[in-house]
Amino acid sequence: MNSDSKLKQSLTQLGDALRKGGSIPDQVMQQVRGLPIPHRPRRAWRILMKTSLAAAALICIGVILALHTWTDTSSLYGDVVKGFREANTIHMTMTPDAMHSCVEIWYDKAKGLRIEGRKENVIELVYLDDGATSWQFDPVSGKVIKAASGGDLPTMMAKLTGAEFLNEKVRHVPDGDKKVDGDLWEQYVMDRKYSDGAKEADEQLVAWLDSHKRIHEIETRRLVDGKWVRHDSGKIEYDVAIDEKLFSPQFGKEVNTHDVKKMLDDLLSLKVAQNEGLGLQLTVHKVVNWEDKGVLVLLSLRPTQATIKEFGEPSWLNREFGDFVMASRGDNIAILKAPGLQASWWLIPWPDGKPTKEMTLSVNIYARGKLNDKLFATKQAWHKTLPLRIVVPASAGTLRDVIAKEYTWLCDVSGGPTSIAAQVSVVDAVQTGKSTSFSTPDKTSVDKIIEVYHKTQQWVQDMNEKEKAVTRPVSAPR
Amino acid sequence: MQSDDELIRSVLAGCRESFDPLVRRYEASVLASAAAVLGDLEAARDASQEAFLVAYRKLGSLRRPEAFGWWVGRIAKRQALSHLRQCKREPQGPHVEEPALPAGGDGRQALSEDHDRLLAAVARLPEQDRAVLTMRYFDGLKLEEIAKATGKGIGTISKQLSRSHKRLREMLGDNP
Repeated sequence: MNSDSKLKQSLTQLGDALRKGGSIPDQVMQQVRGLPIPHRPRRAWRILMKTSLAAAALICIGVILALHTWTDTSSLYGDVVKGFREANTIHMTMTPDAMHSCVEIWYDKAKGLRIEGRKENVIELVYLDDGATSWQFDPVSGKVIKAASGGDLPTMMAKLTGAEFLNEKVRHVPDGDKKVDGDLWEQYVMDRKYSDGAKEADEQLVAWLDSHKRIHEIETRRLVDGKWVRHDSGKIEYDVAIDEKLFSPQFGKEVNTHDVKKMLDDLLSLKVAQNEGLGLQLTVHKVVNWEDKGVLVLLSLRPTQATIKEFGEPSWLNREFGDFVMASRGDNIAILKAPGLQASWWLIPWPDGKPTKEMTLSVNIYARGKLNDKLFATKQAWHKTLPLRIVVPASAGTLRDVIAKEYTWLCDVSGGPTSIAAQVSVVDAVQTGKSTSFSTPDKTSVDKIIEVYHKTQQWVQDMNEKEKAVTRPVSAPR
Repeated sequence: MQSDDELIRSVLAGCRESFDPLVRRYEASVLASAAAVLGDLEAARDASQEAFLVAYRKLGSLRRPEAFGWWVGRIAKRQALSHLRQCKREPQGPHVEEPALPAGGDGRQALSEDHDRLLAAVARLPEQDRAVLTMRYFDGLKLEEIAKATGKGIGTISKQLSRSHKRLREMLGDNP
């Protein structure tokens, strides 16, 4: 047996020995059995939570709406949705968490929905939705984002209450029932574990429903020092008088309106190269050469027409079709997500270290959502590598110029709860792979991203040089 | 054998027990990742356990299930670094200084001297090369599976493995 075969055999045996050496799986599983089932995170929520508190509360509510599949078939929760659908007007006040903030919501069946986020009585954000179009207004920046509607408004209202837990195992607790104007409001409670490692339920989700099963109050309680303490709450009133001016999308003369749909359509109409696979279409929309040192490439992945025909038009209710990562060398500096769309910006170095006129990118694409389920169920591959041949144009300026232009566009287009989610970031290899990211791109983020990018590139170069230097044989450590 | 993807879907759908085969599948490479940082096999076992628990909690955020092994290996490295900081001691280099507890001590078995020596050499490989090597030999993944997990080409993986073999032979004095 040659030394290479012997080495491979020794390595395999070492792997076996490491597995035999301890009881990691048993100890891990012992703890896993006491942990809650992991869930897909509300990623956009977390990204957006980095913005100001009341604004975050408002945006997050919108994003949560957008991220979840509508369900209104269960008995209690179905009744809640039905109650909203049958109402002419609704007024809701939600006080999330311990923030000094409040989210107030008005709904008029004929006019639409208004959500207002306030912090210490100062309006931080306004969201309007007439069922076809939505507007989000930020009074601080004067920015208005005009985009498609968030979806079915009564369903949205029901989601905003956070009463979806009524879909799950709730119990009627008569001790907390209330008599209001001669009507009995029943208290429904769901217990759950909130803290990591909690052995027993330390959080209660509570809702009061009237005799028609319309929701009127909602509350979250947490166990603090053995006592249940109210954490957040909401009140819902039906068929109250609402000033129709509240639904007018007039935000003053000084506002700066960005029509997200048009901006996206304009961007996606650009096409440099295209390839298809798994029912998805991968397109290169832009290739920008910076100082003959590399290229910035903007790609997007969308469902093909055949996929849309099979699974329906992308919408907030039908949003995930696929995503992708660059298999070629490159750094991802921004990402944008909208229903049926993932677009991302990459800095690609020259393949052989020298400027070239053409290059082939290699991109791994992944089917998601219903498309993934179908491919998975029929035992077909749900991921694939696609090549894309691109022609490199002449230099368009410095890296800073090139990135700043793209980030300015992202600044304008991002931020709305039901528009699109955009994030700019770069992996900071020096900081052990941590990502430096900004959910609301601005000038500071351009500077920081470029700084981290250069630092990382320098680090990679230094590491490569160190690697080359380590060519001498090294003696065994023991 | 169920794929990582199937097992992860199963966990997310509510079956915690499906996490067990994932832990068993990647136990050795995760342990090697932690040992490379900590230089101590027992401490590496603790860090590995924590890494799997972190991975379980964050499983829903894993976008590419085929990259689970690579991902949990990275978590193990971070956990190991965190252990080092907690212990307020300087890294002792990627050297497995002490063997594990003697056989029968608490049910855990020590590595043989040869294996200890080989693990120390594996720990001295550059991180990327070590990850590929441990996925290949400790986790038993095929080249295509490693390529998918790391997002690299099969040719690149093959070259990384050859380079690692060469380095290991050099470190071990051509006597694995």
